[in-house]
Amino acid sequence: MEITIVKAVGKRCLIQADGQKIYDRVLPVLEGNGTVTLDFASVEMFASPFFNAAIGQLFKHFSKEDLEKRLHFKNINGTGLTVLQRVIENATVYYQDKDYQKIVDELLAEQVSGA
Amino acid sequence: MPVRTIYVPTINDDQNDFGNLFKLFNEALNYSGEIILDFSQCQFIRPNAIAVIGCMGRVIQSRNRKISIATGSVGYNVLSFLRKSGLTGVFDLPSETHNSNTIPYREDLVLDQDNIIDFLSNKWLKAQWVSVSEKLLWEIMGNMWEIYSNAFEHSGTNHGVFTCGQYYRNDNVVLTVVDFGKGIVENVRDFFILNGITEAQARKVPDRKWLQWAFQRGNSTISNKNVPRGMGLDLLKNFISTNHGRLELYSNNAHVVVDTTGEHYEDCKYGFSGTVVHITLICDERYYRLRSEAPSL
Repeated sequence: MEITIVKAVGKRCLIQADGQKIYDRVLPVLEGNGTVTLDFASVEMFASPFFNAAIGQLFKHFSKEDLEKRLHFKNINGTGLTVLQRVIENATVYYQDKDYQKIVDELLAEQVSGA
Repeated sequence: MPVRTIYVPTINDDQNDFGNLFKLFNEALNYSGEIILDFSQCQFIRPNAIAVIGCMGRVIQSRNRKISIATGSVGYNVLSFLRKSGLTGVFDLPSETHNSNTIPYREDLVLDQDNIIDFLSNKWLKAQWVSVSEKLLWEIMGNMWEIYSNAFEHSGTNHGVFTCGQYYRNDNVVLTVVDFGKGIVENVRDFFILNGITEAQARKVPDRKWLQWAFQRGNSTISNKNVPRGMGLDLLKNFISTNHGRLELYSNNAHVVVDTTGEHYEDCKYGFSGTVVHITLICDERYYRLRSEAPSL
């Protein structure tokens, strides 16, 4: 399946709600073992809320390797690619549980050491 | 209860000036009677003050209290700037925004993508930086969007977001975005307490450390595990530091400056229960390394 992003949500890929629209179309295809291509031709602006919703959520259901095989992007410029790559890096660790006590212990240790 | 007069000092946009703004804001908020703002000690005011004072006016009005400007106290240049920015409208005084070259003060109660982006493109940036290329404009807009998205999503504000900007003759353009929500530090601290940290331990961590945590990639206080978060501030600070800009953020009792030399966090004496983002960009495309020029797919 190919989705032309500018037809689906317009030239601005900024808001979470628009990302959710893309996710809602992509997920069932991937769940059915299909492949999806997202065409970003004519898209002008990119921001993380859009990609977090459109792509980041997929990492809850699929591995990075699986998505690399079955989810493709085309005509995305360098700006969009940078945001997308950061979102993907983030999403691969986002769903892991955080050890909040450990984080606080480290922050307090930095405080003592003067960092 | 007697009417209290609060004196607005001369306000530039360095750290001491922000401290004075927050002192003034807190004094007004903590007094439960009517307030009059006296500008007799104010020789000069910048857009950061416009945005914060606009926010202050609306917050106090929302609590059914009166706040006004002593117009007789305001010098000609300051009054002219207040009128041209549109701030006087908050206090039921006439504005002059229709003929003005000043970037107008604005209030956004909802995250309206088209409205905000059109303002940022046409009123803030392109109005003065006429030659900016489309690619750079789009990249800047995407990054500015991260600020508004963050403000609405994380702050919990009931008052919306307040903005003002200015173009300086040395080819810089500034934008100040204010929300009167909980503040990043309080949000982060409460998030950790919700996740099992004791309040006593959480309060031992200085504000600047919580702010630093919030600025790291992948960290977010939104506990909805469906949609990943925690990218906005990281992307923004990367854009700013790569492209010779300057980002300052004040929230609760913490402050950060991001520029080409890195990120510098510190605790502040005068806090703000909300968040103020103050961005400076150079209006010269030669200083920018466009991500859009990077290899694409």
